[in-house]
Amino acid sequence: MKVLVVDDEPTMARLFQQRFRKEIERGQVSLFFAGSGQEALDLLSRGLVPEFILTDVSMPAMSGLTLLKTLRSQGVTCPVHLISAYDEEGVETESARKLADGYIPKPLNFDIIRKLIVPDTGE
Amino acid sequence: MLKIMAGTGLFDHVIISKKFYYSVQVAVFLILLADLLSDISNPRPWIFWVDLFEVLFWVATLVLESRKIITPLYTLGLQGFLMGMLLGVDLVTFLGGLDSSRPFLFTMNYLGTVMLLSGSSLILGRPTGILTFLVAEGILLWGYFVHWEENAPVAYILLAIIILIFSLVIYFFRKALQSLYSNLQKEKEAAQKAAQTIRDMQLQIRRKEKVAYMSSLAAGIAHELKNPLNLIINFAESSEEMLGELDSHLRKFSEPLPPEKQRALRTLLEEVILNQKEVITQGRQGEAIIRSIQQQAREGSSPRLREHLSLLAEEALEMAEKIIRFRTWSPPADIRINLDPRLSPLVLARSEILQVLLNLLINALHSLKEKAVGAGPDYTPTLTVTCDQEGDFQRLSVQDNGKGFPEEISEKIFEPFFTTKSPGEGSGLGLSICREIVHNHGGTLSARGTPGLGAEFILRLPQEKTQEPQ
Repeated sequence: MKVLVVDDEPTMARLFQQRFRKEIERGQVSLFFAGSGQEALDLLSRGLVPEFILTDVSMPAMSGLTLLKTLRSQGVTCPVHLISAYDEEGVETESARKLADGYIPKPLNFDIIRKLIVPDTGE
Repeated sequence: MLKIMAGTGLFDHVIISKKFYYSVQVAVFLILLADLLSDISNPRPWIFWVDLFEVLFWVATLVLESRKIITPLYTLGLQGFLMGMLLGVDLVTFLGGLDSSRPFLFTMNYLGTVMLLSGSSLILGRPTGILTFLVAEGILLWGYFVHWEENAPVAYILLAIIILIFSLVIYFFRKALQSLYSNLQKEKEAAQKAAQTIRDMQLQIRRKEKVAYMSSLAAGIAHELKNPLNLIINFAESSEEMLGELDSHLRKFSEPLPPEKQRALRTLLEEVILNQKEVITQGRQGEAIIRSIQQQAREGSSPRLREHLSLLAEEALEMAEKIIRFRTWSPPADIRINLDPRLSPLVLARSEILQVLLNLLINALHSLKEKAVGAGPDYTPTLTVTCDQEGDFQRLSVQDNGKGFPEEISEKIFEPFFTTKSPGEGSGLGLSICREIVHNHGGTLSARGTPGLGAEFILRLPQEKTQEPQ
C-alpha cells in the first residue's frame, strides 16, 4: 500500500515511519511524504500513484482542501483523508465531508490510521 | 472673598470680594462725612447732631469689626439700621410728619420709622425681621392714635404701604430664589445620579471587554499550543510503543548478564516507560483543556443537532474527571447517575450544552472537594445526576452534598461577575453564560442550596420548541 502523507510539519515523516516501522519492514506499507500541496502534486506528476492519501488541512500556500479538489479534478480516485487539529477549519462542513473520504483529528490516533491503511492485519 | 449674608436665608450664596466690600465702606463713610460738613450751615441745628451720630456710629461698627467683635454680617446689619434711620428722618421730614417742637411725638415717630425701615429692609426674611416689623408697626400705630397730628396719618399710611410692598417683594423674591435653588439642587442630584450610572456602566463594559480580551487571548494561546502538544502526545505514544519492543528485546538479550544487572536494566527501562505514560496522560489532559477553551471561544456558532441529553451528561462527567480527577479521591466520591435511556433526543447545540453540563459538574465537584477538606471521616462526598421527563421538558438535576450556599443568593449566582470563589479562581461568568445558553435553547436553569448541606442545579430543556436541525 503506497501511502502519501502531506503535512507542513517536517517531523510528521519521522512519526509515521516510527509508527509503521513493522509494516514497512514487512513490505505492507510504503510511505511517501510531501511538505506542501505543491510538493504532493509534483510527486504525482513524477509518476507516483498513491493508494491512500492523508493530508493536513491548514498548510501555507495550498490548503489540504484545495489539494483535495485539485487531486479530484486531476482524476485521482484513491481515498483521501483530511487531518486537522482544529474543527473550525471547515473540515466538518458537509461539502468537505462529501469530498474527502474521512477526517482524522490531531493528535493522531494511529490505531485508526493503521486500520485504514492495513485493513487485513486487524490491529 | 466674604460670605456676607451667610445664614440670613436671603442671600445665603452671595459672595462679594473684600476689595468691593471695603471700597463701599470707605465711599459711604466719605458721603456721611460730606453730609456732616454740609450740616454746619443748616438752619436746623439738630440735623447736625443726627448726622454726627451717624458718622460716629459708622466708625464704631468698623472698629468693632476690626477687633473681630462682630462679623461683616453684623456690621452691615448695624449700618443698615443707621441707613434706615437716615432714610426715616428724611422721609418723615419730607412728608412733614416730624415736628421737633414736640419731643415725645418726635421720638416715637423717629424710633418707629427707624425700626420699621431697618428691621424690615435688611433682615426681613428671618423671624427677627418679622418681629421688628410688627413691633415697629405697633409703635407707629400707638404714636398715631395717642398723638394725632395733622400731617402724620398720611406719612404713616404711605410708609406702611411702602414697607408692605417692599416686604412682599422681598418675600416673593426669597421664595423664588429658594425654589430656584431647590430645583437646581434636584437637577444637580439627578445629574450626579446619571453620572454614577454612566460610571457603573463603563466599569461593567470595561470588565466585559477585559473578559472578552482574556478569552480571545486564551483562544489564541490554545491555538498556538495545540500543534506542539499534538506532536508531544504522538511522539510520546510512538516512544512508548518502541520502549515496549525494547523491553521484550531486553528480556531475551540480557539473559547472559548476572541477575542483578538484568534487574537494574529492567528497572531502568520500566521507569522510562512509566515516564512516557505520564507524558501521554498529562499531554492528553492539556489537550482536553485546550479543546474545551476552543469550544468556548466558538460558542454561539455551533449547529443544532439531535442529541441525547443523558449521553451528553455522561460525556461531560468524563471531561470533568479529566479536569478534577474525582475517581482518585480518598475517601472516594459517591457518583450516582440516574439516567433514563428511554428519553428521546433533543435538538440542541452539542458543544454549548456540554459546556453547561461540564460547568455544573465542576462546580458541584469543587464544592464536594472543599467540604471534604474540613469534614470528618463520616462524610461521603456524593454527586447525583438525574435525568427524567417533566411534561414537555427534559429535566436534568445535578445534586451535591457539598458546602452549599445561602438561599438568598440562588438567583444572584447567575448574575455576571458574581462569584463565591477567591479572586483569580473564577471569573464569575461561568453560570451566567450557562443560563444564557440554556435560555437560547428555550430552557431554564435554576439553583437551590442550603449552607453546609449542598446544592442542586436543575436544567430544563424543551422537548419540541427548539429549532429543528437545518
